[in-house]
Amino acid sequence: MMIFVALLLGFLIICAITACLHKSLLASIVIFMAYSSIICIIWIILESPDLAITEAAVGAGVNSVLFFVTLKKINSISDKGDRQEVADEQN
Amino acid sequence: MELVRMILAVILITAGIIMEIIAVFGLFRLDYVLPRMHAAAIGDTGALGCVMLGLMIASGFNLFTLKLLLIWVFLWMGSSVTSHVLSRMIVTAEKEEMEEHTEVVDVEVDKL
Amino acid sequence: MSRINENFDSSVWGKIDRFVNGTEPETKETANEEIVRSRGKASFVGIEDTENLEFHDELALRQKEEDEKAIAKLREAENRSTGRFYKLWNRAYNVLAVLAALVIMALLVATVSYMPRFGEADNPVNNEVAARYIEHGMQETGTVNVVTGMILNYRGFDTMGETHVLFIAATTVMILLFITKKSVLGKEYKQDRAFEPKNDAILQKVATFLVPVIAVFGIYVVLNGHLSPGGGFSGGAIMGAGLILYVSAFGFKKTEKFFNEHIYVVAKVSALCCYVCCLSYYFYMGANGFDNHIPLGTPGAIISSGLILFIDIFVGTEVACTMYAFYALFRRGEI
Repeated sequence: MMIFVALLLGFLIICAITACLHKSLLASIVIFMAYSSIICIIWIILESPDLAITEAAVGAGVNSVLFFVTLKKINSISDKGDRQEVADEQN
Repeated sequence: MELVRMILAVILITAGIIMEIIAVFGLFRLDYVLPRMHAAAIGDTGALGCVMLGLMIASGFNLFTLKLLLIWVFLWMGSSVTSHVLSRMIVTAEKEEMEEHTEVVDVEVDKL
Repeated sequence: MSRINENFDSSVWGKIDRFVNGTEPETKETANEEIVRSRGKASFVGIEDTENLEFHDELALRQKEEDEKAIAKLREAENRSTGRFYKLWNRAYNVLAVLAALVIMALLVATVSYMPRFGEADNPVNNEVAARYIEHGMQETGTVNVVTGMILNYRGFDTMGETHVLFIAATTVMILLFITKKSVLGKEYKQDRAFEPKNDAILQKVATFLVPVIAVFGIYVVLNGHLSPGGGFSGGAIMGAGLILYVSAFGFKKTEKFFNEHIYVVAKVSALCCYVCCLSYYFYMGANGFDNHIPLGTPGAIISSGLILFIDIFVGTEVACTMYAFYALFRRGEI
């Protein structure tokens, strides 16, 4: 169990650093989702299932959806501007 | 009987973990979104099935098995539908890049 | 965010990235070359297409001037970013940033080393307050799940503040993102759904099966808040996630048939008001030293623990409405 916890904490630190340093915003959000899932497992190991449920629903679910919607609103999901035109033509 | 059940469960769970490792390897090694998603989705589905079946065999026949079965059903639905929607978005949004990277046999984009 | 390193390909991280991805780095073109190429191609095609050569000569000339201006601007920017002073400043900035991060990290690690070990019996956390919660919590609040009893009864003031923070956040998002002009509304909405598959049959079939199950699970978590892990906030978040799935599968038009702005306002405000009423009963009775006259029931039954069940329901309604409102406002500027 100690090894498992140490592994999870190591993943947590790696995820936190990579989410800050990654070049693409989209990948940062996906890494942040992974961070939330890991911390959800850590809450269960610390015997607080209430927090784990909330973390899974809010941190990994709703929060990332809001981040994705925001990225889409400011048009930075696609790294090229001309995709918008392609999609507009198809409408 | 108990020993046979445990051995079966261990074999199934090990097979699932190996499948997941292969899926992760393919995810990193392939070069475009759709092949990557192919590797990830197939690995995910097979590995999840193997691990859940192993856990159900290990736990025996009780309420916990039913919960595992429900988790299996929901995760299969969720992950496969998510892959479908994602790949459909790629076909809609970046048709040209997709044709560069993969061999497109017959895609009716107009009907999307 | 991180600053993009110029020699990313030759750095250690770039090597790891290449090894993991299994690809060779693409040769990068500088920005001004690309601009000249695209512009040149466009003007060339324009001349070829039509016969009015003089007009196009003039156009091409003007475009050339514009190109030169743009290239000069880019050169200037490049010089600025590669000049000696800016190079020095960049280096000093990097060193200072790393130093600041290291100092903060050292301070935090030093603080952690003074803390007691996790899970020891004689830690300062294990005082008479926690002991009272564990020993008398079930008797006094009637909840089997001590955490819910603690959050909603002993520390009701904290939770009330949190719910008001959520309400204020939703109101602020509404003030910032709510679109009242009908013409802008349709345009924004059309742009927003540009990449999305419309009326996906597979997604809709799965959503018709999954959304009721998610809603029932959310209601279960809310109603069982005083018996099992969970409670108002988590159950409300699960219900909100189910609503978001329904919207992304079927669109806003179908959702408006059962959850529109009117229902949102009524549900949210009335839930908050009822919640504050329930909690102020606790505050009034506790502050004046009166007894609690609401029967607690038998611990373990669904209808027990007095007002905590109702507070859970109100918090769940509030949170579900807020989650859906966030999503709808971010997506199209209207609930």
